[in-house]
Amino acid sequence: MVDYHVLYLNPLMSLLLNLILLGVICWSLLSIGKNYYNGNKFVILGILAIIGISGRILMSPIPNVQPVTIIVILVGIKMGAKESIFLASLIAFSTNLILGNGVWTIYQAAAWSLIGCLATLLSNRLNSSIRLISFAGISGILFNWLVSLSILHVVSFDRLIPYILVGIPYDLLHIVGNITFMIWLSQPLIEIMSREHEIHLNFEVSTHESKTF
Amino acid sequence: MKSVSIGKKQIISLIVLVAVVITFPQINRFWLESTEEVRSSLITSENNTHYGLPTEWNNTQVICIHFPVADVTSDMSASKYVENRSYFDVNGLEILVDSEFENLVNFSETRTTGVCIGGFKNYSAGFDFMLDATNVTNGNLEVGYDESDFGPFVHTIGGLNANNLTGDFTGAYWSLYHNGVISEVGIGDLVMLENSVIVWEIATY
Repeated sequence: MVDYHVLYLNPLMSLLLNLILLGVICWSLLSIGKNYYNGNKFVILGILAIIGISGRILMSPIPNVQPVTIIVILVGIKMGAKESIFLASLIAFSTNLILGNGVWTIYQAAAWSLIGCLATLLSNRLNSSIRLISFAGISGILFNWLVSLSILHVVSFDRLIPYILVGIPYDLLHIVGNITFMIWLSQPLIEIMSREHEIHLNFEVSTHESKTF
Repeated sequence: MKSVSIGKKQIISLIVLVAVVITFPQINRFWLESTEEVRSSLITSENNTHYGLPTEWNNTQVICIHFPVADVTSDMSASKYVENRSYFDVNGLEILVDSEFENLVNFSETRTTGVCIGGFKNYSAGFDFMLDATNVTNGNLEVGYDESDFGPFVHTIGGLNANNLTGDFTGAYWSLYHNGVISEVGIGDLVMLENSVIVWEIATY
């Protein structure tokens, strides 16, 4: 028997295919999305979850380069801390079903949630694109170091700093990845999340205005 | 909705990202080489004997058996522990260690497969400890030895008789390490400390 499904792809080819797939998912989702927006937070959260989950899984050939961190930051700023905790936990759990589940899943969920909450706290200060980009970069390090704490289940405390030191090139990847995603995705994602505000403004007297970046 | 406007920032960030991703293996290797000394100096020496072992075994007595070196060509199917690392507690229950931490779990670079049994306390005679600890795996690690004038001489652990090994060497034997250094005395004369980690591995000559 010959299995015609077995076409061996080198890592670069499979990454390229993943990127094309991710592009198609994001493009079609964002294009059809506008027909279904009704100001419902759940619809917006669902769209962001799909982008985060497919983004993280399809970008997994490149370690630490994924859109989840900036999604939770932007959700923390534009929607709120609870929304970012929901997305962080949902994305961490569901992507790790494919990428590998373990004790680190709870650390990843917690680290992304914390970054989302920090973004909510600092939302008044994160009002320029340069500050937003800097925060995206810093949260890359923050995320990696928080998740590194999970090794303490297995090894003693004196291994932690050497372990973090070893990982610094991976921190660099996360920083550069976050900054790139922030520059590319902040505009369309804020656009999605701002729709809710516009609709609210139509129906009720509201003191909050949609922020522009 | 607005489409993404592609400006200078977008292009530069993408170029930087692609450059970092492409050069990542070189960056990573350079970083590992240049930080090696700093990293090893940061690890405190009192825990070194338990390096890579489950943390609940700190300050307890542990035995590890590592199965052979790369240049052995013999059939290794006699031992159950040649494929990966296994950890058992004093009751013979397996302790699962996340594969994510694989690089830290190695006792050393060459000792990538084998079995460790730990969590024991209050043993002072090395040979008693070895027999009791290997016994918890229900015979999978049975110890074969000859009595000699110098005490017991271990030739077989877990079905692997060192005398039967073949490969690119003259002969092979089970060699004994105590807390990271090769033991100067045989297992029959070895006096255990409260934090003793005993390692058996195949050596060749």
